[in-house]
Amino acid sequence: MKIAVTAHGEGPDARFDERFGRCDYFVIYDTASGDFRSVKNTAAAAPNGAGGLAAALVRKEGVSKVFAGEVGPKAAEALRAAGIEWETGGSGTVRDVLGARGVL
Amino acid sequence: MFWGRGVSCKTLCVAGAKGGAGKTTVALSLAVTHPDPESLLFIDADVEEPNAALFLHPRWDETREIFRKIPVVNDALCDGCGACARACGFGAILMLGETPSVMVESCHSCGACALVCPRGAIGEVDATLGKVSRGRAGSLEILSGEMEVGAASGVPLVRAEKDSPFGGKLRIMDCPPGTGCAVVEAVRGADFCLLVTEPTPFGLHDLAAAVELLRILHVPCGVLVNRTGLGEDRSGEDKIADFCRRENLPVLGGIPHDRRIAAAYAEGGIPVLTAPELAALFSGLWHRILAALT
Repeated sequence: MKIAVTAHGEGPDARFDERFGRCDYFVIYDTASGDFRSVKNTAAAAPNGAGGLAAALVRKEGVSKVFAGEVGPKAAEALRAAGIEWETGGSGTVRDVLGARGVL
Repeated sequence: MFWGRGVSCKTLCVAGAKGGAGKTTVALSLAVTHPDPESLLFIDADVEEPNAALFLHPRWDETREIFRKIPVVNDALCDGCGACARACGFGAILMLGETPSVMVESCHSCGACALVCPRGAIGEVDATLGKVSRGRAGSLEILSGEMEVGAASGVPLVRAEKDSPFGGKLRIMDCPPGTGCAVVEAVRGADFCLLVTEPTPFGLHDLAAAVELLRILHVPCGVLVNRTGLGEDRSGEDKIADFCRRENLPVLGGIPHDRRIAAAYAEGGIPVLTAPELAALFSGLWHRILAALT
């Protein structure tokens, strides 16, 4: 399974980003291989509808779960439509968030 | 009764990008000081927060529901190519599965998705956008548009107001603030636009944006400076005057900064009716506007 964590930078030691739709990067952890991959969030620059565009982006990356600080109502609607689960809250780095949720 | 603009009907817009500069105050004051109110139609085109009716207290005769188009995807025809999602400038149609999903609240009803779909899989259906009410305040006829909470763009509402039947001589349109789509729709085709601004950096900045828009649309315009004498010196007024000179824009008048005017407005009064000293100012303003309209 691929889990996307919202982050301010690339890699597992990047700082966790509270935002979903306008986060800087998605750091994607593959539970099967243990690999991390970082994807720039191109939706962050959208004038509106960033939450939905970000959901489409993580879906395209094959993500089935998202860890973010907050998920807005439009983003939630889009994630639901894409069949992607999400959990909110957390602090520290991407690695900290995955650790706190028992993934790492 | 004529449908749309009568042959001799003119449209005067009262605009100016900065919110709170006094567009509604000026538009209402013009309406109530016109010598022949029966020849007027007052249009409140600020459909996100219409407030002219709060001052005019009209009796409403008719309310029409206004719709906008939103896309619907025919999954049987769609091959999931995603062209619609790439064409959408608002993130309102998204590839979240094999076929696109429509995010109704984000949709601006531009039609781009249906236009680019190579398989003709996108149709359009009506969704409620808001309402346009028609009424009378004494002998003045008024139209007021009101958008539903959450809708993305009020353009079709403004269009419905402009397309409403009117057989009189002059439409006064109180425009929304900003220079967005609803303002573009409101001022497009107007015979003259009065830009209300104030002698502050914000007033000047937004005036420049509004002038840029009106130049693109070839709408002649003039400037009214509200709240003159607001600052400690006249530097704000000077900067507006410099800008207008550079841009070759006529300055048609100024309304002094006066607490009594603000107080009258806050109580739901139309300042020109409560402050008689403003009457001469508005009669001069009408003179200059009517000269520009003919």
